[in-house]
Amino acid sequence: MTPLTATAVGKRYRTRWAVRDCSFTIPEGKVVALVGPNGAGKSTLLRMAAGLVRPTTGELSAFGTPLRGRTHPDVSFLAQNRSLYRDLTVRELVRACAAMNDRWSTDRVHEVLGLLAGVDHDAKIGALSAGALTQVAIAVALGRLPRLLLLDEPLSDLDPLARDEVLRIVMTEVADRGTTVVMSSHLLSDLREVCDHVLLIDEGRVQVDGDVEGVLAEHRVLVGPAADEAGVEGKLIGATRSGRQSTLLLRGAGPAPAGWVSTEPDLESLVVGYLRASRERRSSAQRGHAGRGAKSA
Amino acid sequence: MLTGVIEFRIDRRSGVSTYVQIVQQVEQAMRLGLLTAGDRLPSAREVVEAIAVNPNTVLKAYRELERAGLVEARRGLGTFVTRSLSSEATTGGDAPLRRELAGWLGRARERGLVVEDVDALYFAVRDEHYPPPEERS
Amino acid sequence: MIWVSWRRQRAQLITLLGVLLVGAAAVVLLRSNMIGAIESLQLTGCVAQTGPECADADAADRFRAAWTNPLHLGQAAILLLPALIGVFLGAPLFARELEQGTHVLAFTQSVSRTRWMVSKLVVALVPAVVVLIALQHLVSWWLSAAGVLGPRNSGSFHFLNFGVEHVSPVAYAVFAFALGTFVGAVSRRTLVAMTAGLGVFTVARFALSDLVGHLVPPQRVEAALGEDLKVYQDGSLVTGRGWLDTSGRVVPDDRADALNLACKRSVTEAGTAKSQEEYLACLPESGLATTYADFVPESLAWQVHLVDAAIFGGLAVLLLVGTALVLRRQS
Repeated sequence: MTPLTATAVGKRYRTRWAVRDCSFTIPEGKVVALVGPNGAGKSTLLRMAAGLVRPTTGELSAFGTPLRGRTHPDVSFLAQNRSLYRDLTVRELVRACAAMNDRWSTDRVHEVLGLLAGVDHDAKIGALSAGALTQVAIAVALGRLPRLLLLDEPLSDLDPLARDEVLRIVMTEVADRGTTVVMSSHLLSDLREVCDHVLLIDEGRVQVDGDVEGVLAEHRVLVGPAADEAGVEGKLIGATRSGRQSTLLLRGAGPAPAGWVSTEPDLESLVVGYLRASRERRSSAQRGHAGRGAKSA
Repeated sequence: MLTGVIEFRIDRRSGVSTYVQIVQQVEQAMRLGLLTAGDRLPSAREVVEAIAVNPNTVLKAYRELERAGLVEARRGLGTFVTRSLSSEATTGGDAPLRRELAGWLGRARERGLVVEDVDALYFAVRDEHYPPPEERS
Repeated sequence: MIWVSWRRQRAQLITLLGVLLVGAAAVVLLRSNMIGAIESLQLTGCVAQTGPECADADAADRFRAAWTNPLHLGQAAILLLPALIGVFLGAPLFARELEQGTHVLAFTQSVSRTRWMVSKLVVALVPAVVVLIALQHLVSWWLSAAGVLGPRNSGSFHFLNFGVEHVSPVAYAVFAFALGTFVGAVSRRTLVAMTAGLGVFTVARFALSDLVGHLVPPQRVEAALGEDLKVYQDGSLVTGRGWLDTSGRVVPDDRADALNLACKRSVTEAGTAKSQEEYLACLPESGLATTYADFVPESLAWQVHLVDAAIFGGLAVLLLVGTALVLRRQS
């Protein structure tokens, strides 16, 4: 049973489409990096998967059950702002979350709270450091014993040490229970070591979706003479050209022609290549608009 | 939590993928005699609790080592080193080859070579004796 | 879930309890002081009724000068309490959750949104209503100790008396609370919900207070020309007045006014000494036979209270349903 499936999902806010025609399947047991620039639609997508937001078009289903404005019992969601009751103590918050769930393991929560330096159970939520706050938020999310964990920007506003610690907590959960994780971030470098599946979205659409190794093996970076691009085979994703030399990112490239050097991209340069290409498409579309406007004026 | 036998460290800037780094570190520890037959490798849970990597990556590295015949997974017990890669030449502070290398490095330092010079020299000579595999294209 | 709601609203509920304790203490103290004043002014007989046995008008005046304001303040507190319940309990109930994003925590647990909403409503509203009823009865107990020496003398339909009696205060409170929650759920801003809720409540309260009396079937009294209608003195709620023609039909107001004015003018022009009699004779000749008044007697005030409660309660139910719909669509 796939943890999460999206079929032609779209979400419109008034006149703007935050997510558009997204279809993908999240395989079980994977740690998925949901990456894209700010405002790409990552949050909307995760909130739809959590059953908080209803899609305008298409359908999402978790473990085979279509989501209709309710959170699936096997899914836990961590909101970007952590959304915890700040005036409660950690102990009271755990009790509150226990009261709001049918299936709940206080032991699991205590286990997660005890990881790393440990969190003081009598501390006020509002007085916790950003790292400890995230640890508490993840602990109560795991108290539901989820099979799919959705984390919206879990590392934003954390210092490097806290980032590392939060990732260790999440990875421990993956090791312990084989939980599928979808984590969004606008910084891929945060997730490079932990993800084995990448879902890149930009302008509300899926740009890359697949197993990291597979995706990387599918792409090539070719560097060669700018005057001689005719012999290059494959789907051109993006290119940077400086004087005589061209650097091309290709999908499904053929063997490199003479005079060209072919290497496998790393994940970061791949993602940057896609995002740069989509930004260029956008700005050239805008230039097109401006040009027509000038003519008619 | 760690067994204390081996601790992995991941260099995030090296460009070498995480699982390859784990494989290399196990092999290196075996060559240096830090891991010998019968030693248990840390479980995926123990590794990810210490360094933030995907447990699937650790398991993939262990499978790679298993294919190479260096370790074996015993159900419910863990992953164990099956043989030793260390030899007289690499183990211990007084192995003759090691002593020679230490002497050579000492002389290089006396001559005022910096670490980049030493690396450049070492890789140049190493490539003469151990030609690198063809770059795939 | 009740525990969660209780813990989240603990501060407000403790404040509410404080209001009850302070209010009760104040009423008990003031009432005993007031009884002391009644006894020292030898007005004990005047509490139940005014009349000849209560001859010392000067003592009664002195009592009223000293105690009318405190008693009115007690009534004003009961009139104000529903508005405060709306502003401080109703408005922040959902607005604060939406403002701080904490609704997301509840919405992503297994508890349903409806159950979450209902438990929050119950935990906030039930104690508030209990405190309101308790304070209402305390103030009523104090008012009855003053009897007709106090504000009760103005009759059940007086604005201050009507608003603090029977089910009306509870109906206002539930309405104010529901209004606060609705505006809060729609605006998602605590401050906006508090101010807008208070504004709308005040307008609705004044606008509807006139309407309510007209929804109870009135009784009609007629008076011959030159006689007074007693309903203006006996504390009844007069909802209509006018003229009847010789066959007992109501004369439309503008026509009656014109006829009345014509009679007055003809009398003035004649300028004779018997002008009042001539005027009274002129009226039936023009077709204005008797005056009438439609009224609700004081003994039926409870019917007006029930209509009041039905209107405000009905509006409250609509607003709560609206709140539920808004929260169901909330992301």
